[in-house]
Amino acid sequence: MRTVVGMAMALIVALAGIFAFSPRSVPPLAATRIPVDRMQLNSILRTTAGLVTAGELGTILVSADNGDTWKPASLSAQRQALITRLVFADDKTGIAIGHEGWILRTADGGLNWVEVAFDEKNGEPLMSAARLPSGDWIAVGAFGRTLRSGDDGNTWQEFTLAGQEDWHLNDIAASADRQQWLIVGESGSVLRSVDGGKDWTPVPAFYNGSLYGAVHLGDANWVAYGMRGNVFRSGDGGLTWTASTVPAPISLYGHTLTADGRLLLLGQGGIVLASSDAGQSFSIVRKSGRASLTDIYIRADGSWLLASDGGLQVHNPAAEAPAKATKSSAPPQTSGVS
Amino acid sequence: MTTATSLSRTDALVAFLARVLIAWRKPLGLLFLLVTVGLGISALNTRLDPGFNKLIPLKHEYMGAFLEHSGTFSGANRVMVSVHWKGDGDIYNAEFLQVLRKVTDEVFFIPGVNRGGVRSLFTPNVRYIEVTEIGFTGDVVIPSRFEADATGLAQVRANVAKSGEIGRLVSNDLKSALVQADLLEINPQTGEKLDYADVARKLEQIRSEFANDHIEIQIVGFAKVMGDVMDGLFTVVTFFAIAFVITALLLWFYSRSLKLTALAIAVALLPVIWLLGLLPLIGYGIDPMSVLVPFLIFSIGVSHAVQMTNAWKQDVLAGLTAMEAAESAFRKLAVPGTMALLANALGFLVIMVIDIPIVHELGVTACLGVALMIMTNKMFMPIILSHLRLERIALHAPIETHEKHGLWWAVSSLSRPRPALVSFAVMLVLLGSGTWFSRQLQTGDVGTGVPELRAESRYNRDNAQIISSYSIGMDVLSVFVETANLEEACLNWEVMNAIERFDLRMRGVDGVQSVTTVAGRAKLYAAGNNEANPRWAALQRSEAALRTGGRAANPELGLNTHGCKTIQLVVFLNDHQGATLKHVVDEVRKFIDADQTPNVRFRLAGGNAGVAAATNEAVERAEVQMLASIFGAITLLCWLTFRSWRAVLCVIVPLLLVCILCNALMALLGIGLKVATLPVIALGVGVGVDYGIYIFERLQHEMEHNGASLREAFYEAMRQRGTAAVFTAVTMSIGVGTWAFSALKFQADMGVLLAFMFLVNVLGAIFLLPALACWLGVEAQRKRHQATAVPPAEEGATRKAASSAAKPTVLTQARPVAIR
Repeated sequence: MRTVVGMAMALIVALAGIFAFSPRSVPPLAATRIPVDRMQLNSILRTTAGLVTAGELGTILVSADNGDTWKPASLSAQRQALITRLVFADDKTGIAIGHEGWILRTADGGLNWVEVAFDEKNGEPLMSAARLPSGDWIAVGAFGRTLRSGDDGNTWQEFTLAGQEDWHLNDIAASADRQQWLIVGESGSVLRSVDGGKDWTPVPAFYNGSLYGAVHLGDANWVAYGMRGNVFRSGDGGLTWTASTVPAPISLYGHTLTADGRLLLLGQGGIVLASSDAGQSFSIVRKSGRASLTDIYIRADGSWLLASDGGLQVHNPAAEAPAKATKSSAPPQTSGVS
Repeated sequence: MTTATSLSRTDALVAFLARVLIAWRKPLGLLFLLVTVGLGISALNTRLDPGFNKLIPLKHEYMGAFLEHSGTFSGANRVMVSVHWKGDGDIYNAEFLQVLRKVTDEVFFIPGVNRGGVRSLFTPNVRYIEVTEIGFTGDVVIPSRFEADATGLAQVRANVAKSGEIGRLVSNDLKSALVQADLLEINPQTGEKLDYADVARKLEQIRSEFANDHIEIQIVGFAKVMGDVMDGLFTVVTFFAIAFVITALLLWFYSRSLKLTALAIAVALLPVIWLLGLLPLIGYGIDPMSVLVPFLIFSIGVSHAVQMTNAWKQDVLAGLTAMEAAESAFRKLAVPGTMALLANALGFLVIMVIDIPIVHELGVTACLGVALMIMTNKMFMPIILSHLRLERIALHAPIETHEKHGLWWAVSSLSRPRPALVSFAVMLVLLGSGTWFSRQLQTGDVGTGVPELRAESRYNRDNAQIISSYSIGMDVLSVFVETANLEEACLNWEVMNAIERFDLRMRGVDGVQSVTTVAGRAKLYAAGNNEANPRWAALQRSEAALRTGGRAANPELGLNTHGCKTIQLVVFLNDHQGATLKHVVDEVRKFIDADQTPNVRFRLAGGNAGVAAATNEAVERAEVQMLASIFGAITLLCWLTFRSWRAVLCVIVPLLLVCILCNALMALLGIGLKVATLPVIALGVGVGVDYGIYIFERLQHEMEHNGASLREAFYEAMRQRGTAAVFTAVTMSIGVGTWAFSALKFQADMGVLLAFMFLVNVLGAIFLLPALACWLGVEAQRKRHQATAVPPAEEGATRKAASSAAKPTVLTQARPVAIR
């Protein structure tokens, strides 16, 4: 009987020993996620599905909670090509365009995408697209490539614009009434249409570098922006252009208009430029990090969601304004400017 | 009975050996002296032998890839010197740039530096690239005819900004700049192995030469760690001196004889000298870990020397001559002493299952030390004793007391059933909480910075400073991609796409700071070729398109070999804690397992984090193996000694409890299970089992030969062996406990844990062993045993006589120590 107690004790110690030295679990780390804050993103916009962003390796993400969490959209084919831009005709129908002539189409605000074009042999990227008032879609890209779709983006064919050369075409922009149109591109190329995109005429060269985007500011006022701090404005619907004053020699890749009518331009070095005088002069309103900013979405609370080649960044202009004032005494930050 | 006959046969052999030893004592003594002198001279050649590869679990699968490819990709053995400007403004001033230029030159001329690979703002391999409307322009960052005037400085400032080196070679706050250099294991000029101590010294010279009111120098890199570790080794010598003095004092208290104290210490030092002398002869050096073996050998040596001198003194006091007493001491202690040392050696041997050379060498060195100790302690010692005359103070015969020793009598009540239950209750509480905490033990390093050094050391402060001011990580996990059947793998879309997917996936893994791969670089180059437009940063399927980013695959950039036969994917981690490593490595594995790309093989792992991950896995694997073998071996040893499963349990159960408590202590102190702390359990068990064996042996002896009750027997065991056990535990704990003050973190960890193991094991043997003996029915078993077997009366009687004559001496003289 007595021995039983002793044996029990020995057994307890033995079991405790086995338990103590059995493989230990480590404190778990967070599950692997899509690194939305560390991946290349080229577009961000709102649809009925919520916020949609896209970029690296053909990733398209949808956020139903205003950008806090993101879920991958469903793609009919994953080609792993970089998506360069998302373009929506309304808040449901849109296309995603990318490298290797890749075009995907959605009809539900970006939750589900169907591949409508892909060209394995010719790797050149498409850079911009738009649905014209006629209902036709056009897309432009590298080496002056232009595509048209007559069935709301379901099939695409090559076509040629008047006066078109083989410079890269980077952006298609429309006026608010969708009658005036500009296509801008490499080597200062500008194509102009005043009839809703039916007829296009080249604008005489005024700059020998690349233009990455253009924006209509009401009436006949336009701004076009490009590499190394080159911003131009036009007061005659894009016929003639004058250089604007820009405080940083950075290349600019995106823009937006704020609710209070300011124009924001986004570019290298995490820099955001703002103009309140229809693009005549710009000031730096944000400067942080080394990423090149490509697109912006301004949330209802005033904070900015910035798409960049270094991931999605959140910026709160209201909160960071006072901090910037004290920071101005610090040595100038030149990181990332090239 | 086989036990009795085999014992007497052994006794006869031992007696014969004892006679031979004493008869040949003069030539043997001379021989030992000559050997000591010879090895002493050889010990002067002992060299420090650090070296990166000794710390690597060479047989681990990760290390196969590491060893194959680490030579190709530099960067594992990099030193970085950060020159920090403490004055006003940023680094763009004449004084700073002057210093930076000089530091660059100094680093360039350090022997072993790969000179073509040195990088700083002043080296020609650091260039800026500018994209303009008319194309690329680019040049070195600091022009050859640079003048530190306003225009010159503005030029440099602009060039640096364009070079993309901010965050890399220049800190993010523009207050410091780096000089980077890679070291070659074999100096190409001389063909000699890299002398880390020399490199570290040169780096320290740079610091002392250029640091002033305005300039601070921070240095990181493996070579510097090795330098600091070696400096730390010399402080260990101080601890040796302290342990030495304390041990000497304790010995004197114990023996009250200067001669015996000096003798015990001298004899304990002998195996240390022999060991240090033998190491250069067998081609071993002293590394940061094996430097601890001499301490351990010394401590164990002292405890065994004490037993020998004690036995000798008892006989001298009983009236024998020095020579007769020496022979008798040898006879008495040859078997139990050798047995105990064998148990120690077993503990050290088991350490060798850990598949890491530095630990292997620790095991070999320690085993060798213990083997030498059997020679010096059991042979040389009696020879010296036979020549010794005891001083009067020690000869003073103490008063024989017939009263019971109060403390030990009280303790012996634990062998009665009811008090034993108290013992069990305490044990269960300790066991419960110990098991609970031990589950929180982590594998690998727990803190940040370099694990060898303390968090507050100069090196780790430099490291923290550099990590915080630059965008570079120090914890790197490399994954190697081996390609086959492809001319130019980096122009193959499948390969590059696999790498790009890896890059993206890893960026989403918790614990990953950033990822650098040839695919990521190629995308940047592709964008760069298109006016840096980020919408061009992509890899396309056609080879022609891939060629635009092809310059990223230049082997000189260190991410791939020629033709991309091997590609290195670099994952920077937030830290190198065990949990982070395990998580990231598991995620990499998931990717590799799921990937189906043809002609591509992903292999883990290189970089310091890869080595650490492999080490952690090896350590975890070895832990179970090691515990199983040490407990298996000790169970066998106990069984052979006592021939009773009850005895085995009485000895093993307290040991196991202490092991669990040791793991709990590690978790509580924030010490991770790693290369340095894993051997502690084996060492602690190997040494700690002595107490149980000694005490149980006496207990069994008293019951078998003198028919004592369990309590009487345990009391006798404690009276004769308990005090010595406590003295031994205290001496050894102090010997290793001094390491706790070492500048080296892992030595401090080992010291604390070993001291704990040595001390708590003796407590387990004193408090838990009797309770177990009581409730396991050791007494009842003995009674049955005695009824059937005839006790060897004659031998028992003589032993009893000898021990009873000696007992009071040990008892009264040892009391001060024991009570403290």
